[in-house]
Amino acid sequence: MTRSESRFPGLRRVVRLPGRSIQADVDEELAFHIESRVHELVRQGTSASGARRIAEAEFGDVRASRRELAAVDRHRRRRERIAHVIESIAQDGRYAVRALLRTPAFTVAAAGTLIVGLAATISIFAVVNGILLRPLPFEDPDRLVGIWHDLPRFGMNHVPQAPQLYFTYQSEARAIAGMGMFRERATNVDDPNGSAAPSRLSTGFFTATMFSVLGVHPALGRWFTDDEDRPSGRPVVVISYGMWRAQFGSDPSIIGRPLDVDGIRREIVGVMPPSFRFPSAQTDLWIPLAMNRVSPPPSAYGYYSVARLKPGVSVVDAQRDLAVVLPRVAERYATFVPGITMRMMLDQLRPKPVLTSFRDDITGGIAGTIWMLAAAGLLLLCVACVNVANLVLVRCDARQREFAVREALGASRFRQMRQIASESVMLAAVSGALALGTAWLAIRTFVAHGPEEIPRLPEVSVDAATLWFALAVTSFATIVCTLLPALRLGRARMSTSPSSSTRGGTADRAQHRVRGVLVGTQIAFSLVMLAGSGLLLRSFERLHSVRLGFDAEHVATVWIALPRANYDRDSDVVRFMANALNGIGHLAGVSSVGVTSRLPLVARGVNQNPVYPEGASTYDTKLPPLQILTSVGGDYFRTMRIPLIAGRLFDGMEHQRDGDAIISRRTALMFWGDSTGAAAVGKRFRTLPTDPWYTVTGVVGDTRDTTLAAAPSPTVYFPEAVPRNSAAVAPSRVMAIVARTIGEPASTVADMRRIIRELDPRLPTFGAESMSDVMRASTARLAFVMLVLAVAAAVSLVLGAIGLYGVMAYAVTLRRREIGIRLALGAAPPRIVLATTRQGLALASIGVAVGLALFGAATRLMRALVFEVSAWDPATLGAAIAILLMAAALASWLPARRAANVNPAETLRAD
Amino acid sequence: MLYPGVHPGGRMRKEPEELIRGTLDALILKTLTWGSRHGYGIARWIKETSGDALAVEDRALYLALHRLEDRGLVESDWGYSENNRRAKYYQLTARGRAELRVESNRLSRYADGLFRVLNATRWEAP
Repeated sequence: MTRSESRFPGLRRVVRLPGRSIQADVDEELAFHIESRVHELVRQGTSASGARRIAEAEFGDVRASRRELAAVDRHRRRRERIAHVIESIAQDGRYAVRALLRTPAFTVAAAGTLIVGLAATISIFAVVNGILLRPLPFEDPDRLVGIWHDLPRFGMNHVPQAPQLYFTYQSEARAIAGMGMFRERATNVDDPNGSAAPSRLSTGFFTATMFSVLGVHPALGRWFTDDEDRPSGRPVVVISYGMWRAQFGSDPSIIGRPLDVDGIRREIVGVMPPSFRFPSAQTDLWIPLAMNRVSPPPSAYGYYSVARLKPGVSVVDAQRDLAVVLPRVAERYATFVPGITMRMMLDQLRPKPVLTSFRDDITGGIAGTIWMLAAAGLLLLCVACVNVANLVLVRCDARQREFAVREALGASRFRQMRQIASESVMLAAVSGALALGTAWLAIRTFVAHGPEEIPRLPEVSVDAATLWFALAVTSFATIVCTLLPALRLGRARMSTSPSSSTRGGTADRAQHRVRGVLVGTQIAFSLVMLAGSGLLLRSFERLHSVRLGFDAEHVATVWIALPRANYDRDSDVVRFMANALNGIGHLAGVSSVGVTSRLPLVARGVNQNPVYPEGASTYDTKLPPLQILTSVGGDYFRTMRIPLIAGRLFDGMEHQRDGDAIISRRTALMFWGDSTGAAAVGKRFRTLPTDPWYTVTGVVGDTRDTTLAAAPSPTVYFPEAVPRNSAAVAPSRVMAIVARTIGEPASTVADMRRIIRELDPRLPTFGAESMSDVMRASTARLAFVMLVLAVAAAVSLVLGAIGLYGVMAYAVTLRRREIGIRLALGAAPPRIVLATTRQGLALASIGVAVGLALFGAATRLMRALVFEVSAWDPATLGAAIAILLMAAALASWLPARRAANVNPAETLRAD
Repeated sequence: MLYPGVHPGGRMRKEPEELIRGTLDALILKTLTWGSRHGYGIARWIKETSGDALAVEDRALYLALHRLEDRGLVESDWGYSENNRRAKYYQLTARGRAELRVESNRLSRYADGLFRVLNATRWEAP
């Protein structure tokens, strides 16, 4: 038979020759068959026309056959083409892996850099997405607003809701579709059928309307009704999904079971779905607020409220509507709090309703910090990409000869680009996958151990959006890694032939400049992060060196809460406290013990109210400044080592008298203008214009009480004692027992708990176990951000140094000949080292200058976290710059030294 | 090139035996064991070798050929015929060779069984 027509068998399968369709092939094949048969028949003696008829008749339906055969061939062609694409991708992949494995140092460095950058960016995106971007887990969350008030006369903004205002808005405001009011506090919870010890659980006190406003539905059972949300309504409770699972083993017949909350037996009527974590992730119970609508409790602005706007109503419209409605509160309620009429309140406080997006209410506090971390992550990604781009360029330079040789051998430029691209894609894909895994681990760790105060933390996860984001940033990294070398290849074609070495044509110099710019950028980013983490470090150090006003070391703490159901009378409360202090005071490791309604740096139990000093007529028409009101008993001041600066302390717990009060130095200064306290002792004040007087018996030092960063608040201490009449400050029922221990506080806490259990076995204890823990918790967020930023800064510093090293090493290679000639002409090696190092430092200095400008823009993000340090703190900036320049000097000195050690003869011969 | 005036369904006068289903593929593969051939060559070879006993409709033959190619049992390339015309040549692939072995074993067993039954001389109760 005959030889094949094409030179490369199988080529036809891959490349379809132009102008030849499948149908034409089929037609030609069939025509050949018919012609051959006709030819044969004619030879056998048939007439030409008869032969054709016979041949076609023998063949069968030619028209149908044409269609059938073409269909079969098209199917085959399509399949072969797909197989070919897959095969060539696999082949590219194999080549890429082989090429990458040939240069393990490059591969590990580039992949490691990419993984760090990508993992950081992906994890931070997951956090940003989970906390800030994803819609709140409520129905139509964009129409939800929080209702707050500004009290301009009082210099207070964003105070929560007063019940009287709430009920007024609820019945009068027209812009609002529904409103709910709530507060959260801890309760003692006891399962009467269970064997578990009673626990202290965070409980939401909700109006029945809350759930329709939020648009949530219980996973099991029902939400409570309006009738149950009345002062004498049926006692019911709704529990969280987590509690249902952990404490009741997901018992499907939970509805109708009893649960004791603060000593009151309630019926479980519903279980909320796992996504419902409101007001906080810790909330385990919801019980009706059951507020009396006619005479709400006199608790001033002590409740939170949320409203759903009617469709089409803007926040501004609703705010205006509420402002119009607000004065009508005086027609509905005569008194605001005992002794202050509603008119007085309106006139003096001039409250102004302020509506905020509900999302900001929930995440507003943390948003700045998270965006700062996001900025750090993005910077790190930029540094990483720049570094990898640089590494890829270096590798390209090293492979210039390889590419030139290949091109000379006939490899197309497209083919070479494809190889570079497949290497970059392989590198980025593997790094992306590993980075995703790393990010997943990081997020799990963060969710499990991150600061508890972060709202919506449990909602952070690697979800579909995060996966898409990971794909996007990985693609971005791939493009960066591909484009640069592709451009390089394009230019290399013009300048490089297989024979030329890296002598330094103009293109090389231009490339070198590009890399210089890349390294400068990296150094700029590094400076921003270094300086940023430096500022946080300084803030952290400043925070820990502030004068606390108390001694946090060796103080054990145990919180208890005495429910009204079991401790009805004030004397019951005082007796219990006295017994507890007595028992704990006799423990071996305890040197002194006291009790307080609030601990410094703990948010629990803060009660801010005005007090009226005697004889100060200015306060007849305006409200006096707020004081933190605290009940203390036992040896509280001595235990905390809060110094007494004037007068005397309270007597022992059993002898404490109502009517005595101790004030802080700030209060003394505020009312009686005397920071020594002497002038204040013996003076009188009262908590309301209608209340009995308290006499100042002593003045104590100030303490940092809300946060380490905030100045001490003026504080008034009352004795934990039975009040003289019902209007006076009642003894607090939620108290921290504090004990100064001789050894480690942790070992004493167990003994303290035992004593409380002996006094009342149904009473749970809770809270942090020592004041050192409290201190740590108070700076947890700052410490966390600082850690993240410090790691990011360290990584970017190392990357920047490596990048600079690469550029300087390459610069030295370019100048090898020149250096060789200089050395041969007698230049001293140290001079050459110096000149080269100076070049590197010059590059770094430009980076530093750009970095300072960037940093100026970034400081805005840090303002919330920085404490007592100016953003342009010279020491911090100086240190950051010094560290960077030192790293830069080292990175350029190493190649410079190598350059100076070259043998001139060898270098010159090499060319 | 088109085929004007072709009318379908023509048959030869003397009707040869119809092919048993599935045997055409094996016949084609067998034809190709001696080297590459074009479709017309295959058709002629089958007819001559079987002594005109096996009727292979040309349309069915080509369909079978193209399907075999789709299954990767044969591959094709264009070449030039004895009288110097462009023609499509088919040849066996390695997979085609293996398939032929399997198929001819199967058909042999089948034919063997068939003959045994047809040539049986005596009835024996099973």
